[in-house]
Amino acid sequence: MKRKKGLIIGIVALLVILAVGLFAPENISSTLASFIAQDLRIALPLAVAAAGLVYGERSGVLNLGAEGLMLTGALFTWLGTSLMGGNPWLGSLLGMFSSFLMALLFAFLVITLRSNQTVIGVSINILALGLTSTIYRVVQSMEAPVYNFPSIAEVLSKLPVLGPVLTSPTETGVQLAIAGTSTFGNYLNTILSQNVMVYIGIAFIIFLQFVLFKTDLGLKVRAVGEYPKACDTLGINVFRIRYGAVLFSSLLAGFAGGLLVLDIKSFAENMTAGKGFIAIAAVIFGKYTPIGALGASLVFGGAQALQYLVQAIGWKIPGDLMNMIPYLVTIIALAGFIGKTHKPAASTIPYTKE
Amino acid sequence: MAPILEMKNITKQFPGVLANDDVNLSVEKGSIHALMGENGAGKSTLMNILYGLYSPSSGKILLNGKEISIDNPRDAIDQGIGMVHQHFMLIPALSVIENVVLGKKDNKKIIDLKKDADAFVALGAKYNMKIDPYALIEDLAVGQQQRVEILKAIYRGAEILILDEPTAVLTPQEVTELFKIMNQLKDEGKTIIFISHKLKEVLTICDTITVLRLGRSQPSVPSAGTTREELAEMMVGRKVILNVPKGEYKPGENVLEMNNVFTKKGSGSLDDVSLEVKRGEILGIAGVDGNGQDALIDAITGLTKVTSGTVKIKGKDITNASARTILEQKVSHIPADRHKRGMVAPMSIRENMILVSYYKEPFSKHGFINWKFVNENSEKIVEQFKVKTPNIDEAGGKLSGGNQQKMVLGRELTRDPDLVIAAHPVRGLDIGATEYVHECLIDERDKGNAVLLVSTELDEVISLSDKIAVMYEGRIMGVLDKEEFDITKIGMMMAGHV
Repeated sequence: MKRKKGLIIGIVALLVILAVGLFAPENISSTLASFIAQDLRIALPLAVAAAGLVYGERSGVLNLGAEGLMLTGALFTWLGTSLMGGNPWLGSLLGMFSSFLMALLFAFLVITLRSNQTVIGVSINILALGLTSTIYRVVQSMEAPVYNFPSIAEVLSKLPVLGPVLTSPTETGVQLAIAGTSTFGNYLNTILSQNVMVYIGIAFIIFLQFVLFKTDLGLKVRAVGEYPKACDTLGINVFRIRYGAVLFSSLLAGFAGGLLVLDIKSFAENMTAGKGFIAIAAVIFGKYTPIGALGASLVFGGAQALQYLVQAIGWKIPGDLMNMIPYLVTIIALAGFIGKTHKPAASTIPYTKE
Repeated sequence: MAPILEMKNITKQFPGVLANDDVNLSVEKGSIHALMGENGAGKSTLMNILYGLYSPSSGKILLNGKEISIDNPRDAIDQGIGMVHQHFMLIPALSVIENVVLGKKDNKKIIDLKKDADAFVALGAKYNMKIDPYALIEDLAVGQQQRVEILKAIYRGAEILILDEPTAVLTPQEVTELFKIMNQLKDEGKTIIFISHKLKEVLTICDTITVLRLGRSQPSVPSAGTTREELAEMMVGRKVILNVPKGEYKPGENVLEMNNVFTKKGSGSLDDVSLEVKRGEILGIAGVDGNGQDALIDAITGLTKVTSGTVKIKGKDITNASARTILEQKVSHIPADRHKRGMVAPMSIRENMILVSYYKEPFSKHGFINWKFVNENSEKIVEQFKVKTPNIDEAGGKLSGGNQQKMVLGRELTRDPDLVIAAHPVRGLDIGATEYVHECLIDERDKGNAVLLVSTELDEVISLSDKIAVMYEGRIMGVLDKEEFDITKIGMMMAGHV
């Protein structure tokens, strides 16, 4: 029943979006379309990182170092992309690998050595901030062009036969064929013409949800975060599951950090600016499920997209105040609107095999 | 018949402790074999070795005459050995069927829960157990959870089932149910190893008994023809007095008086309870768990609100007074759940010893604790009440159950009480500790203090009490004098028949 509620909210939201596109006057529909497009763009890195963190949390490890992993991933994605002639795929691989190494340190400390997860997580953040800033100052001069992942229109246009049907060329590149046909077409084009990673990301998050709740592996991950001792008596290797979950989530966190870089095509010191923590908040707000985390990320992303909306409308609100909104929404969401969440019972408790 | 399982010359050395010392155990196929012993005798260690949680320092395990090695629980499960731990290894937040399939070796990558659920329900039906496979474990009663554990082990193909103190958490009715299931399993040719220290249960259900004492195994004996006294002696290593002798019954004036007490409506609330406990008397409260015993104790100790009626201690009205005011009337409280109410597990013994009196002289002065006095006093209590511990700085939670109870008992009884309220004082304790606790309570009575004893163990209530009040659904069904003590009669009253 509870999970149905999220589904209903999602369907209603989609219907509203569709209705606005079909019936609202053009100025409103185009404002909403760009708002949604911004929301998706901002939410993607949060959602990817959060969906990974769900796995870590479910296995009983709270990775407060997510921020640091994202930042490390961001720097090395930038570095990799720059070095590989701007190729975002290869760059992301390096970003994921760097985050993986950082998480290996974290996992060794909190799983094998059973150190306090909060302390180590925070230390990882500080370490990552220092490390990335230092490395960046050294290699800054290597600045080379960085390209983002292709947009969905670019990908579709390369399809044989279907390509020309689904897309149409413009002066600068390609757009979806529906654009330009009508107000509604423009509206849909604005919403749908996303970076291809938005689509891959959402599909992957749905896949992660499936794995967590319908597979043997997912069951083990969930069980280990609840009662590791019981798992031990059933012959499940608690340490292996926890290492696996933490390292897997680090790949996604590193990748998410890279998305931030690819989005603005450059790196900046401390550019994650709390996004790792917001991703952790999205895990909780999303009730420790990948799809829930996606929904929560869309809410937080929406809060930030609101800034652009307010600017577009022309309201005069101080920028610093606007910058607070996503964080404010996060606090409010965590404080009041999650309802009953079941936190994994063994969360943050190191496992000791007798 | 050849034994299905033999454990030969098993020795397990932990740092500083020799938990199993050349232990031998031979179990016949299709039998119920009891493994008995005091707390710390090495029963759990031996079974954890059999289940692959520990590896033995030396010795070997033979299954059907063939030597096998068990390095982890998975090996044990593969060899057809299943274990139901005393603290269930079930994940509360998952459903029954998820728990059942968790970690199963033949699981497909994508689990078909429906298929397993159907097979599991069919298996349950075979043993007359109805369990909703999609219910969450946390929503099940303890008895049901235990059945899930047993079925889970069988579902995984267990031929030898280890039950670690399975009756400790059950009501008498649930115990009867469990025994039925055990007999049914035995009839099917399954072998059960039953760990317990309850003499009567073992003699009722088991075929053969092996006793462990101080890590060493005693020669096995058949259950038929063995008496409780003999078993107790084997376990403790000396003659044990199962029925502690009492002085003459000389009741004095009332210490506790309750008149028409009601508590806030709810399950197990008090419904017009009137009682009195006199000096030099043990009043036993008999009843099935959950029939108002908790509310009774809470009403006396100020932990729940009395909605009408009066509670008096030594004539003073203490109805709805604060817990501290009540304890200061020389009331000692030995709570039912030591961990929730009797002690603070992570705190040291000396800190636990002053939980009730820390604010009073000589324990503290002007808000500063007098550690010198506290230390000396704690040492004294530890010695007097035979609490086994390396020192008084040890965390209370590190002690064994029996020693924790002795610690609580020591703290409460050295406060010079006029009224002792003891709730399930020997729950989870072994014979030696039980004997000691009973001696202490009788000693209080013989000193002329009043004792209110709440227990679900009818034998305990009958052997200790001078009078018995039977509770049912929050009411006192009647108060019986010594000469009216009769198990059938009390049993009828416990079920609500007057």
